Amino acid sequence: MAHIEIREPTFYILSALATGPKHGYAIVKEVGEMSHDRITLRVGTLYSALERLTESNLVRIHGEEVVDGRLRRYYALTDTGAGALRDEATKLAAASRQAIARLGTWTPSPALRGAWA
Amino acid sequence: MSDIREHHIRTLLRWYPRRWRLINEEVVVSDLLDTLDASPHPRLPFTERLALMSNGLIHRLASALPADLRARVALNTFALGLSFAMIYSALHVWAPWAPVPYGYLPNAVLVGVFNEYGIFANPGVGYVFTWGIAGLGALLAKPIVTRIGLWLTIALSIVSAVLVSTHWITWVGPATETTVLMLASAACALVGPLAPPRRVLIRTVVMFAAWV
Repeated sequence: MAHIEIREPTFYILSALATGPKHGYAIVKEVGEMSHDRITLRVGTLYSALERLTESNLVRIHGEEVVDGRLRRYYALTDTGAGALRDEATKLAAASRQAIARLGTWTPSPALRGAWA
Repeated sequence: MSDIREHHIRTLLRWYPRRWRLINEEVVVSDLLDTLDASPHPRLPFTERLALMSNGLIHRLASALPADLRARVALNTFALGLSFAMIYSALHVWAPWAPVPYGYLPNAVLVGVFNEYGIFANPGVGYVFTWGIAGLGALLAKPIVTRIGLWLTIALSIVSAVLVSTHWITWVGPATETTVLMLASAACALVGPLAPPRRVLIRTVVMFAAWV
């Protein structure tokens, strides 16, 4: 299995597949919803990412079907992919907890105190 | 209407190699038609078209070059181009530093040169902006921004090459060597995915030091 770095778009793609197999456009929509439209996946970019993830055994092709005359290819998370996503999510959660804990001891500068009050 | 949209999408997918299209074309066309159905615009957005074109080119190159080699080429040429653009802007384009560089040209040619570009000595300042966009995209891990910057660099190099050939007597812009270097480094930087921001930064600093 080739090593793959999980950047933010990849993280969201894997997260979208965590609830079950999905086709390309459904992944694009779900990533947009999860990131509150902060990340707009392009279809061209999505398929390049899915190819890399498939080569790395994090994702597999689940099947194809024709719906309303359009061909759908469904992708699913593998066990390796679920493990990689869990590791990354745990790492991000730990980093977030640490940042929030540290912010608890932070004192705003006098100029900001009024605005924060 | 649907036929026109589909034709437009299939034309864009010709950027991909035939083998890739045989496997993926129908699926991608379906997803792109879904995207268009949900959009108020009849055509794909510019960023989508750009993503298809650059990913198509990358796939074409992938069949010729292994992935790790492409990644190395992309990283090194990106760092080369970005560091050169920084050096070029500081030493050559930034007019206050320039010690009367064009003294050998007839005065008539020089009239208005410095005024036309404000504090910049020549229109090569455009490279500072295009590489600036690409560099910002690389540091913020936004590949699409990086690609826009690199494609703009390529476009600027082509315009510059045309201007050099048609206005070679009065041309005070980038030299042919600079144009070729900018074009080649931007094109080669597009051959593979760029390394994480930290690696890009380190390699650019190393290249910058080497130039200095």
